[in-house]
Amino acid sequence: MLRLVRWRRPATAHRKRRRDMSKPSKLRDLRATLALPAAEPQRRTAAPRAAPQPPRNRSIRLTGVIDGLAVRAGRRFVVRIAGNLIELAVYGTVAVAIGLASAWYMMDYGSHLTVERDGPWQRWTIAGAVGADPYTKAHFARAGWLPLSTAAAHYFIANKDSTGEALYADCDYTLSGLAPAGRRWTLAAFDLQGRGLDPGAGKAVIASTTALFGPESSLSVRLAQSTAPGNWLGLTGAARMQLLLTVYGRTDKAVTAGGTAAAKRPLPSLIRVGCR
Amino acid sequence: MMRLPRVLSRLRVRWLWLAAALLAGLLLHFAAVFTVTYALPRPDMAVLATLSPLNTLTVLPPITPEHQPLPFMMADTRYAICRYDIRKGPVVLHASFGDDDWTIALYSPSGDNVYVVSGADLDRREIELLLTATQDGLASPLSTAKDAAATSVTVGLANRTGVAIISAPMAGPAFGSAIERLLLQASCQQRGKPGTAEN
Repeated sequence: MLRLVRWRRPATAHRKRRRDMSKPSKLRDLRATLALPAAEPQRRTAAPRAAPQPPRNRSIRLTGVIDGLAVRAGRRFVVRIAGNLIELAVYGTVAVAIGLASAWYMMDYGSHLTVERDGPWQRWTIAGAVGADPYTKAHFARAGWLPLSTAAAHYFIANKDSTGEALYADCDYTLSGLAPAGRRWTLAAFDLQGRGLDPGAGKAVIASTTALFGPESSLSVRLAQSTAPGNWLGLTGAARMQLLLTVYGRTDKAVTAGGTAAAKRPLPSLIRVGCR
Repeated sequence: MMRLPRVLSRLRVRWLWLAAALLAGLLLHFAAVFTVTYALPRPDMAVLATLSPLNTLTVLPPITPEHQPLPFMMADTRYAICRYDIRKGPVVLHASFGDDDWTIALYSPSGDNVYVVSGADLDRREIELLLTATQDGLASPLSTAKDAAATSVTVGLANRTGVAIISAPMAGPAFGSAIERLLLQASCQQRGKPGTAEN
């Protein structure tokens, strides 16, 4: 049976001096003069200590010391295991957080290796291709979207305007710039899940076949809930939205920001006019 | 609050554990990406399975905000889909393109666009695609004579199943009925079955 034996600190010089009542003391002399009872020696702690039991014999005292050491070693072992488990949980949480957060970010937003950005527009560079990287494939798999390969179409998505503000369906925007190069292009508004917005009285899709162009292939499209002249893409609701600009045809260098300088054609800018 | 610095000062970074955590995070990252890419069923394929039986062309109703089977489908485009299965033999997909902007795209079950052809690529408006497995792709090609009624293309597919989507953009709502009529004339059937192009 384990017994815990209290270990006593050896008496130091000043403690010995305090206990020594035989030596003369001015305070004791004063107490004797005034006939006051002698004061008890002061204790450091308020709680009364149990008087130490004198060891019965040497063998019992040795057993107690060994038992105390065993208890202390066992307690240290338990504490160390608990500490290791806590550390393991902390590092495991770090691993899970890093792994899942980075995977989510790379699948949703991509990196400069997978996504090309031009103003508010971003494009997954090898969308739909058989040899696409796993991040691109995962992005479209999560979205449930079946895109044409880049040999046939390029998809530019904007969920922010040119100043970096999120797009909302209850705000008015102006898209202006040069019309995209390509055999055909379309512009449409969707919610964040890819469902088309109800255009109200406006058009649901502005296409190159039906759009009104300015001089030198310039293009201006008004995105609004209220009637607008010219190219009016109708909006309804107040939720966040995104625009999809699809350019069809094998015109990589003409339509992408990564094309050669001579062939590069900047994509239209997207400016917020106001909100309701 | 005064204890916090003391506690922090007693914390030790175990660099080996940290390296192991980063390695585990990296493995988890790849596992998550590959699971989403290759292991999880694609929601779009599940939706299409409910819309169209195998080896049958189905013309989808006009796309509206209320009826849009897949994300990012265009309201100015009419679609027809065919879930092909070439395990029991080649499948012939026949369509008559209305203009240069029509496309036929083939997708593998993992969503890869394995083949696409547009009206601008064709000399004729009629097109016939023979969908067959890669290993016996050229065993029985379709006629490619210049006087053939349709442009015939044999497509060797590594996957035995997939989806073909015909996209037919409309220049305006007035073209809707004409485009729908063309789509209804298109077909997607196993080769040799009644009603398909005999070769």
